[in-house]
Amino acid sequence: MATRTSTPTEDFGEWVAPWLPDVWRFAVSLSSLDDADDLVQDALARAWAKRASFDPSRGSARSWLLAIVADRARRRWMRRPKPVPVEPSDVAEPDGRRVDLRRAIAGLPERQRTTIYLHYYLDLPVREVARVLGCADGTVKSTLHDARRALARRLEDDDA
Amino acid sequence: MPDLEDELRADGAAWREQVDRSRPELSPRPARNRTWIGGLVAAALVLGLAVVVLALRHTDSPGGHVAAGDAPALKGSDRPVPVRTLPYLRRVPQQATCPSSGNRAYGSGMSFSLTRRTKAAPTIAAAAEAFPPKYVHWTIAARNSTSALLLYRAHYLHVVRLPGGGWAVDSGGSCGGADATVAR
Repeated sequence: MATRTSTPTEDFGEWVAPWLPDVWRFAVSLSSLDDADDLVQDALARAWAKRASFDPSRGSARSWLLAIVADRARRRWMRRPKPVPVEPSDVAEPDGRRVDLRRAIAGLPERQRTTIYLHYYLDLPVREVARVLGCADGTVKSTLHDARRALARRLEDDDA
Repeated sequence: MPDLEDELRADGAAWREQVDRSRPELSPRPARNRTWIGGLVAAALVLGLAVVVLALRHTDSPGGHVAAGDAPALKGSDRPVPVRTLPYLRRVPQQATCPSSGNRAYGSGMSFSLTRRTKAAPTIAAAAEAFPPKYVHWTIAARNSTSALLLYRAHYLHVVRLPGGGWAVDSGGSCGGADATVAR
């Protein structure tokens, strides 16, 4: 993963390129494969408009961009019906256990679901998840703990 | 709950692979591929440079000097290949503007290219069609010989003619709700 953190002043396209895969993945997790491009485009436009406000001392460029994606997603779903969270069938044919797991994740409250996706599915460390969500590291840890407990309960119910 | 945690990490890795497959042009390439491609590009550049040097030596010979404006008179094989890079934003004939913010810059100056690595399309419409999402029906709001501005609701695209011929999406943006319009 690239580690450039300079301010995006001159070539925004080049600056943002190393993080586009993560931006795209996060957009998919917040919407769907069909809506993700729209969300990415919207978020990049916003990031470009706000690029002067990026401060490398307050976090990585990746977490700054992902926070904008989360913000744009929230604003979009306030104006129109929220999409169905990504189902396994949207991307591939995983095994039965994974179908259950992703359905269980889709049923979590939004905050827990987003935290799970950022940490386990985008593979972000706790500190960076905290930057994206604008909260303390401890809050992320407790949210992950609560989410795992809720998932375990749902999966047990499925097995029963 | 270590088992569930392992399961989440494993499914996360599988999910990333699946999602990345849907947009391979965004996926990070393995370093070995980059090295291989880099070597190929370097070899092509060296070859291209040699061709240009040979062409310049030819045109610098007595009686052989040719001004840029005379280029069409040259045979194809003698013509130096023009080297240009994207973006061509300043050549776009019109700018998009966002009525809600009234801020022309917000809708006009950004430059990102999701399709930089894609092949050139034969027409402006074909280039825009290749740009996701697929259901969008872009309207060509303004164009000249080197670029075009396309609009769809709140979104806009800049499509440019590539030096080697054909068209490709160079950049785009969104007004975040309100319909984009052509700046007058």
